[in-house]
Amino acid sequence: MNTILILSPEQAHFDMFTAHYGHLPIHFSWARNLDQAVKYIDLEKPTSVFLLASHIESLAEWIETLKNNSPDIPFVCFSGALDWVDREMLWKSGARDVIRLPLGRKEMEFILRSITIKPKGSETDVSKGIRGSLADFGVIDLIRTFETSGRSGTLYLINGAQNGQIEFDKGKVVNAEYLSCDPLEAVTVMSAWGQGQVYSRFDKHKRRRKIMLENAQVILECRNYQKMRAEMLRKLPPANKKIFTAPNLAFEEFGPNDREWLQKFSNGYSLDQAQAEFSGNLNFLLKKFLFWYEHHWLMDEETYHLQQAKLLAEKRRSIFRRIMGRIFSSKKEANEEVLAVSEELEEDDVLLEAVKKPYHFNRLELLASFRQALEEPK
Amino acid sequence: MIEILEIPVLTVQKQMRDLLFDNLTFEAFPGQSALKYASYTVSPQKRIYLYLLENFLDCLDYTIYDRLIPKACFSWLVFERRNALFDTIQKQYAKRYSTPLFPVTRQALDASLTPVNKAEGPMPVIYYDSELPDPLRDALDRAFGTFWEQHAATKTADKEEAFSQNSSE
Repeated sequence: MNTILILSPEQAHFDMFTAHYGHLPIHFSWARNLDQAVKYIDLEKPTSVFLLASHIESLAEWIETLKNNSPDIPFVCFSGALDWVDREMLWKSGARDVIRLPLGRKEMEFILRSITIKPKGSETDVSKGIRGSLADFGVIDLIRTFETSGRSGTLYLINGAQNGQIEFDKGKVVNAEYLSCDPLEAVTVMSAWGQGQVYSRFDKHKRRRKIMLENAQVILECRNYQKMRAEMLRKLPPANKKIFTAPNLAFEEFGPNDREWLQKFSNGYSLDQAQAEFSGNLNFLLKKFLFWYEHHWLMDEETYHLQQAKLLAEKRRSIFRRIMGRIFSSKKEANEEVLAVSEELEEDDVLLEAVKKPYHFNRLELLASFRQALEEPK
Repeated sequence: MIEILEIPVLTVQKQMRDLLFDNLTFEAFPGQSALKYASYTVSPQKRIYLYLLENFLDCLDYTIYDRLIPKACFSWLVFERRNALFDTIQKQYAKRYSTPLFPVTRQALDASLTPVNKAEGPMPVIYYDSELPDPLRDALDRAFGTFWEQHAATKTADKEEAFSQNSSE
């Protein structure tokens, strides 16, 4: 709370401040004369002193006494119309400002705010930290920088529409925020951002520790995360190539979230597009894609077109064979025909395996009762 | 309350099916003329439905297959002798379903005709003895016996595995 001492012979001036500006975080006190003011300053040490007088002589006298008693205290002069020489004299004597009365209420409030309340961020602006591109500084490098400096502060990271922050306390990573991720997960996810902006702010706030690991362990976690991503990307098709879903994939068998992603892939969708669209733990999504890819539910463009052509050919061939069978009631050698079919089907083994149905029967009591009934004579 | 057990029956040769189930009448469902079934009465309260599933390889829509086979205790594959068609059906079935499949045929004349699974050795074949007064009952009994043996074997193997894991821990 700021305390302002109002030095004025008239109580109306003090009343004006308390009545109109009581909502500001300022405590006003009043001194009728210079002796009272000097005593008050010694006891309470106000933030600043407002000198209100209609004559320049009174002001000059007060300033001289104030400067002799407490030279460090800032003061503001309020007076009536003053000529330029007088104003210049007041400024030269060290007045923070010289204000001419009367003033509008809003104007006075603005002046009070500007004099007494520090603008937001003024403290942090003084201790401005790192600022740059994530392409130049990785999160791991930045954690090391903080650790070396041993300072507290916040690291703000911006990657397109996504943004997050990592908090440090005396050089240690203590917390991180990114969407709804856990603190440690947030650091690892952001550590994989290869582009975007970063800036930091140093401060001295005490922070609650939510990441219990040491910086070295956090860095190791980040490395593992990046390694896992690189491995998954290596196993998947190139990020700029389009990936498709298998032509005969049963979308109904997947949950709503998975189905949404699979439907995007049904018309061709690249990993780059997925990365741009997704916000959150990308490794989780890539793991899913890799699982689908390994089970041939996702495939590259070439395989997709081959599978589609095969399915079409199969459909056409089957109908044709049926019609021919009806017309000619052919007596072909069953084995020859089946061998031909089996050769084609072998190529589609992968597709069949992908849609293998589980075994649901579990009514063993029922089966036992049937077995018993069968053993009994009818 | 009548209890019903469903067994899907896949066929390799149509003739064999006619020969084996000559005393059964297969009826079509009112709404699904393609799906035929025969009801066999085990006891007044127990019936077995045999669903006839033909054209397993040459089928475009597996909806009925997918609805019946996974919930059945096992399926039958009726065949006359082992040939490429039999092998193909069996292979495709194994790739599509996890339900056990028991081949059913007439009494084997010769051991070389018995189907063999490369991984597991000789397959359990259910022999259909048409000289018996009720051959289907006998075949069903054998099939249940085989299933029970397999089930018990799997259970024992699981127990042994669990035991060995526990003891190693």
